[in-house]
Amino acid sequence: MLNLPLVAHDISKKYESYQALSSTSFELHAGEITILSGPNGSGKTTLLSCLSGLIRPTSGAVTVAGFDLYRNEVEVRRRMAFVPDVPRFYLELTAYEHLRFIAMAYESMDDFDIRAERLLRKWSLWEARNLFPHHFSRGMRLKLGLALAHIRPLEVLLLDEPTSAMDVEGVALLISELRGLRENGSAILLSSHDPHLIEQLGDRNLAIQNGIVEEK
Amino acid sequence: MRAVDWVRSRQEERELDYWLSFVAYEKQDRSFINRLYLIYLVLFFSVWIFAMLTFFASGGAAVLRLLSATDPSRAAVPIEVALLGAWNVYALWQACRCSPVVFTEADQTLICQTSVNRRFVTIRWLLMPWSKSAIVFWIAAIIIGFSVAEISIPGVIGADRILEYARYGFRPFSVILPIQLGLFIFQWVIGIYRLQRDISRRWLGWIVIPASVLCLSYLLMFGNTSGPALLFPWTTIAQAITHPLGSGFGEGSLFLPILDGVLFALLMFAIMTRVSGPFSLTRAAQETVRLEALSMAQRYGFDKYAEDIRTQRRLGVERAPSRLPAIHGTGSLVWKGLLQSQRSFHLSSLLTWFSMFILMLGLPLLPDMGSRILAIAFWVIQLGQASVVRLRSDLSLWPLLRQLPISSRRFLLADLGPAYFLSILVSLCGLTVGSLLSTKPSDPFAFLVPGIVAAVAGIAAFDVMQRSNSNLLLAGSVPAVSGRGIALGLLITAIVLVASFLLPGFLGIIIAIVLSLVLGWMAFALAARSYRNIGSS
Repeated sequence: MLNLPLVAHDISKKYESYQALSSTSFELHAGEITILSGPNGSGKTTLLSCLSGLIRPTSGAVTVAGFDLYRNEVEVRRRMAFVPDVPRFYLELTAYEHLRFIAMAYESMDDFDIRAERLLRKWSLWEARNLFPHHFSRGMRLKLGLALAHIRPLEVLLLDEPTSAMDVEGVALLISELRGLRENGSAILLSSHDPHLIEQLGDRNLAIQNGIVEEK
Repeated sequence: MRAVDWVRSRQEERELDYWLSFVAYEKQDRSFINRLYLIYLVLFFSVWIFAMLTFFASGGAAVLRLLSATDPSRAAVPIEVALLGAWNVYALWQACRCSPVVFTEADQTLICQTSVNRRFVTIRWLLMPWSKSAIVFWIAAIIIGFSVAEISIPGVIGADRILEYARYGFRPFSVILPIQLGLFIFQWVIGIYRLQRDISRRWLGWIVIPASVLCLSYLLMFGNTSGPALLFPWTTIAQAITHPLGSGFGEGSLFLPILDGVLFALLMFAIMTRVSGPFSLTRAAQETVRLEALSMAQRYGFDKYAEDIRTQRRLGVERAPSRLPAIHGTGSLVWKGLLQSQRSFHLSSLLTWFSMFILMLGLPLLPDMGSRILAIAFWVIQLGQASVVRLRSDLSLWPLLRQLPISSRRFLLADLGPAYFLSILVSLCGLTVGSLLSTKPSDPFAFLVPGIVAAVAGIAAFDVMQRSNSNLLLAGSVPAVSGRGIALGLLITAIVLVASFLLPGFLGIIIAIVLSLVLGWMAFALAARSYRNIGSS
C-alpha cells in the first residue's frame, strides 16, 4: 500500500457548515488512468485541489509513493504534477522561460533546449514561445500548463478538465500523451465531462456527486 | 441612437455619482433633508472654492511680479499659453498613440461592434472627458485673473470690491472656455483621423513637432509676438492665438475674443463631425479598453489588478529569451525574481527604497529622541511592505508555486533574501551619508539594522501568509501586510531599541544585536511554519 503512486485516506473538506467533499478513500495505480466525472459543483476541483495540496483537507491524509503530502512535501512535489483547468502564469516570463524555470526548479536541465523545443512544437506553441502567456487563449494556456507538467519527471499527474478549452487536434494529442505516460507507469487522475475522453482513456471511473465519491 | 444615448447617459450618471459620493450626497434620495443638504453643499463649496482661489491668487500675484516686475499682468498671458501649449502638445502626442475616445469593455461589445452612427457616438462621447479636462484650465484662468486683480486693484480689497475682483476672474475664464474646447476637439480630430477605417496614419505623430516649436518659440520670446520676424517667424499665428487670451486680462469688450474662441471651437467641431464618419470604433476600443479598465481598477482600489495591467502594458507582447545563466533548485526562484525585477522595473518601484534611504539618512541628523523614533517607525512600515513584494507576487500564483519541490524555509530564503540584503544596503548607505553630514562618527542603530530587518521582514511574511486563504490564493488574491503585521514589526523594533537603551555601552550593543538576530530568526521560523499551514483554515 505504501508504494502506491497516490493514496487518499479518508480525506474530506468542509467550508464552515458546507461539506464540499465527504470523507473518501481511494488509490491510484501505476500505469492506470482514472477518470473523475460528475456534474458542475459536485466537488471535482475541490478533490483535485486537496490531492495536489493546493487546499488542505479538513480531515484525512494523502500519500504519494508512501510520502505524506504535508510531512514530506518536497518528495511529493518531485513526483506529482497538477494542471488546473485555467492555468495562470507569471506576467514577466515568456512561455519558453516558464519551461526553463520549472526545469531549473526540478533540476531537470539535461537536454533542456531539445526537450523544450520538442514539447512546444508538439503542443503547437513553438511559434508563440517568446510571447508572454497572458496574451494566450485559454486553450493555449492549458497546453502550456501540460507542457510544464511534461518538462519535469513525474509519477502522478492530476488534470482538471484538460479538454474544456482545447481544439480537436489538442484533444487527440492529449489522449496520445496520456497513453504514453500510462505506458511509462505514471498514475493519472483527470476530471472530465467529455464522454469521448472517458470512453477512450478511462481504466477506472470515479463518480462524484454532492461531494461523495463512488467507484463506478 | 437612443440605445447609445442611454448607455452614455448611464455612464455620465455613474461618473457624477462617484464624485458626489466624496461629499456624501445621495442623488436618488428625494427627501427634504437631502435637498437641504444639497443647498448647504452648494453654499459651502461656493465659499470654500472662492476662498481657495483667492488664497492661490495671492501666491500667483507674487509669481507674476517675479516674471515681469514692470508690468506683472503682462506675464499672465504667457502663463496661460504655456499651460494650454504644454497640455495640447502632450494630448496630441497621446492622441497619436492611443485613441482619445475611450471605450469600456462593455462599450466594445455593445456599441463598437454594431453599425451605430460613428458621428453620433463621437459627439455623444465628447462632453464628459472634455468637462473633466477643462476644469483645470477654468481654475487656472480664474486664479491668474484673481492674481492680476491682486496687483491691479489698489489698496485693501474689501467686501465692497468683491464684484470687481470676481470680474477679473470671470474674464479670462470666459475667454479660455471656448479656446480650450476648440483645442480639445482638435486633439480628438487628430486621434479620430488616425483611426479611420483600417487606414494606418503613423505620420500624424509628426504633428507634435510643429506644435511644440510654436509653443516653445512663443515662450522663448516671453510672449513678445511683435518681435523681429527672423527670430520669431510665428508672430502672426501666435498673435491670432494669444490675442483673445490677452483680452481676458484687459479692460476692453470681450465680445470679439469670445467670438474668436467660439468660431474656433465650431470650426473644430465641424471638422470632427466630418472626420468621424469613417471612425473605426473597434480600433479605438482595442486601444482604450485596457486603459479604461486600469483607470477603474485604480479608482476602486483594485491595486493588484491595476498593477498587473500596468506591467502587461510595459512588457508588450513578446521578449527574446533571457540570457541569465540557469540556477538549479531553490536558486531558480532567485533567477525568476531577477528576471521579474529586470522586466517590471520602473522608476516608481524605487520610491519605497528611496524613502527608506532618506529616513535612514535623516536619522543621524535628527536632534531629539521623539523625531528619531518617528523616523524609525516610518522606516519599519516601509521595510515591512518592501520585504514581501516578491512573496506576494509568488503567492498570487499559488498553483504554480505550491508544486515546486522547494521546502518552505528555502522558499522563504529565496523570496525574502534579495529584499533583505537590499534593505540592509539601502539603510546602511542612508545611515553612512547621514553620519557624514552630521559629522558624527557612526550611528549605533547601524549595528542593529541586520537583525531588525530580518525580524520585520519575517513578521511581515508571517502576517501575509497567516491571513492567506488557499481558496483566495487560487483566485490570485493575496492579502497585504495588515495593521497587526506593522504593529508586530514596530513592537520587535521597540524591544531591540529598549534593550540597547537600557544597557548602554559596548555590552548593550552586543546584547541588542544578539536579541535582534534571535528575534529575526524566530520571525523567520514563524513565517516558514505559516507557509506550510496555508490552507488549513
